[in-house]
Amino acid sequence: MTTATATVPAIAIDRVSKTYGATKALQDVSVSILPGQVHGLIGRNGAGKSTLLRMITGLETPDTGSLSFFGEEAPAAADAKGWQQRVACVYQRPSVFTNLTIAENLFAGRLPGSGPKISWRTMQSEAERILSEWRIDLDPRSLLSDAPIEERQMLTIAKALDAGTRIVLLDEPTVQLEGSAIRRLFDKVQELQEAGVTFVFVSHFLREVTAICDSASVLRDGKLLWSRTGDDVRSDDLVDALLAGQEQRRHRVETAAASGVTPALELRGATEKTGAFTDVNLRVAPGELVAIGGVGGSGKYSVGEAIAGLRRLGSGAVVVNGDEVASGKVKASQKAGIGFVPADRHKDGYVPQLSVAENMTMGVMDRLAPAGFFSPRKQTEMSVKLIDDVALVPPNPKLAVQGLSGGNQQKVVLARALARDPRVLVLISPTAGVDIAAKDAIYALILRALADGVAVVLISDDVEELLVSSRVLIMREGRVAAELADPTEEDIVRAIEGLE
Amino acid sequence: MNSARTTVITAPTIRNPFLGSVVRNVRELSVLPGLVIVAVIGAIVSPAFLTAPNLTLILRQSAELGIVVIGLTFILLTGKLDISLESTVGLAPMVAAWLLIPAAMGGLGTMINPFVAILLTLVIGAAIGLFNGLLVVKVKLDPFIVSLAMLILLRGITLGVSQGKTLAGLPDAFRYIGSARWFGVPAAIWVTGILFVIAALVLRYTAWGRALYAIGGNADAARAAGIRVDAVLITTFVVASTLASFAGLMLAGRLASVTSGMGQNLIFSALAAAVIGGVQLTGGQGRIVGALLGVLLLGTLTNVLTLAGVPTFWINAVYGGVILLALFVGRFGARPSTT
Repeated sequence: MTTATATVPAIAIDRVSKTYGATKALQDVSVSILPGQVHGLIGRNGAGKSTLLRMITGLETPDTGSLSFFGEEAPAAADAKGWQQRVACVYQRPSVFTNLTIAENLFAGRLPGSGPKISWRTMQSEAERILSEWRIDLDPRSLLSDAPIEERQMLTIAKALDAGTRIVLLDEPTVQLEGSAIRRLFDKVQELQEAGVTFVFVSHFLREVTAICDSASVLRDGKLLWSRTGDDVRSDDLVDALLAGQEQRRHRVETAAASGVTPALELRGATEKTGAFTDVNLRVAPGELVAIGGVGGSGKYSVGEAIAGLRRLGSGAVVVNGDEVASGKVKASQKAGIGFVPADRHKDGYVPQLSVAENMTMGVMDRLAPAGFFSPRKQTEMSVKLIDDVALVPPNPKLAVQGLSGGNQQKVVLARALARDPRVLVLISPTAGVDIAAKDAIYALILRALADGVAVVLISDDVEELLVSSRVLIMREGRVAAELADPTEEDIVRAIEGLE
Repeated sequence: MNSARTTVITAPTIRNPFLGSVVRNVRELSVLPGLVIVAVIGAIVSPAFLTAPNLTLILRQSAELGIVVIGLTFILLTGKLDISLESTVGLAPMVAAWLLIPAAMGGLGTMINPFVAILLTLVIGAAIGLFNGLLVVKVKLDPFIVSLAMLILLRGITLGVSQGKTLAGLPDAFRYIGSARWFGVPAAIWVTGILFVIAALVLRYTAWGRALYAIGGNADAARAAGIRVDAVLITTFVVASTLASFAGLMLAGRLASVTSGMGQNLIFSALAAAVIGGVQLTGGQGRIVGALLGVLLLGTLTNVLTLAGVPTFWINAVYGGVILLALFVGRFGARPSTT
């Protein structure tokens, strides 16, 4: 399959390490990719893929080790032009100027013309040439914002190759694409590969990696697990590689729904208004834990947001303790007994300048101030109790949340969800980006809530987190694709990837 | 507890509660030295400065600005903006007075009850606020551009209604709040003072007041926390515009007439006062005490510039320069670093 037989690799990564504070993002990683290869890069969130990609694009310098391209030492960190000439990167959301025309995007940073004057005519004809070469049926004068995402990705690649780049990194390029668009992208990649262009392909979809890559590397916890070429790149091997060396899971909660009990939470044919998910049915008994997994864009987060009232249903219903909850209203959800921890705590979780006490009690102001006026003393008392519940460090209600560590900020968000004594807790990736100690504290809190009879829905990207639950739902393309009872890690990975 | 060693804290932890509150107030207090300096200069340049009538005059002339600043502060705290407040100051009393005054004096001569006219002034203010709020919140237009358009539109309506004339001959009841004296002090000063106290209490002790800070700090998080962000924002616009119309009523009482230029350029002083007082244009930070000090600083400054005999044509230049200086002091003087 590989046409190039050259011994000089297009990308040679030699014993590279990178440390951020206490986190070893990459440890002694060596990968060598030959010209004309499509090299898959696989690993979970936090495995070190992004750090490696940032290194290959020159956005990050290794602490130790070195990089070379086609046998030449990598350019200096400050030499942005040098990096751009060697490597181009296509992200899932291409970082381009949507407010400018397609022609301007193709020639951004290298506008044709003499002196300060831009030659629009040259740019126009050159852009037309590139577009016809790529069989992209768009007017170069139209705005990029009018072009579909796949065309934008194609344009990014086209631009890079036109500028002479011979290495293209594809960072989860298919996440936003439809099936036919993915096929077109892959066809183009294969065509260019035959012409000698080298690709690094990052994806969560093992099927895509096996379909398009002729070599692959698997990262875990900053270490290279293995690196293979040719026929070795089979999905079973990749699954094995992802699972290999996994330490025993530390948390596992066995909860079972008693039959005949009114479910604490029920979704009845719930379909989101904009179609983020379709016909989701779910029953969670009091004291029961259900986890929901799936790749990015599978609609799993949207389900959680809909239960919390942040998204409106087009049809179907959210039912708590037998009563239907008005959809799309956060206050209604809260009053029905739903507590919510959003996926992105920085965006939806807390108000950074406000104090711990204010953030924790934000959702219960109607209780603290039934007549409009509230007592700051009551607010402090309530937050002191919540601080104790979630073991906040430092236990100071007056501190601004922006001064806390990530794990403690997350505890504040959790306390906000607990403030109203919920009967249902919806937690999206509650332990993402927090340290081990905070992780343990958060799991302990979930356990205590379950023991108190709270129904918990745990939505996560992280297989390890999903494994906490003995009942795991897997979503794909907005629908519940599988329900797993007492799954192993391999079961979950296979279900998420849609293998067999 | 050794946790303090490993935890990053942006603000210094202070054990003494009094000292702690002083430090927390530091941004607002950074206006005080400026106010004192201006007052000292005033006392030096003119013996008339430190007299009861002059100090009363400063307060009285700052009253309308103060009331507009209260409303503006509410809006700024949410991270929004309404520069059309100054046109509301002019339009609301103008429409009411136009209905009230006999045709011979440039009005419509409906002879409505003056109390109805007062109520109407406030209702017009509230309606303008509602309109602004809906445009910003529901139509999701940029608040600066919306209120710029409204500033021009409302000023234009004021001119159209009054035909550019000054409406005098207002009934006593309509003029009362702007001209009466209570216990020897203009009623307007009392009312403005009371409004500042109420505003401070509302911001500190009501769910609505705290919601302004939460929305200005992080609207997404406020929404996820169950705060009705849209409703709070719209009421904020309504409250601010109603306050502006009340300020207009007071101004009409002081001038004993309604002019078509009433409130013109007031919004620039209001914005300056709020920002000098530590209210952040980006939302979520600031206190009403600071806004009040900002108003007093500007009011005193205007008075001192006049007493000092600064040539009329140069007053604005000096005024602008001092505002710039005050912002400088606020930025580099005592402000704690925020990330």
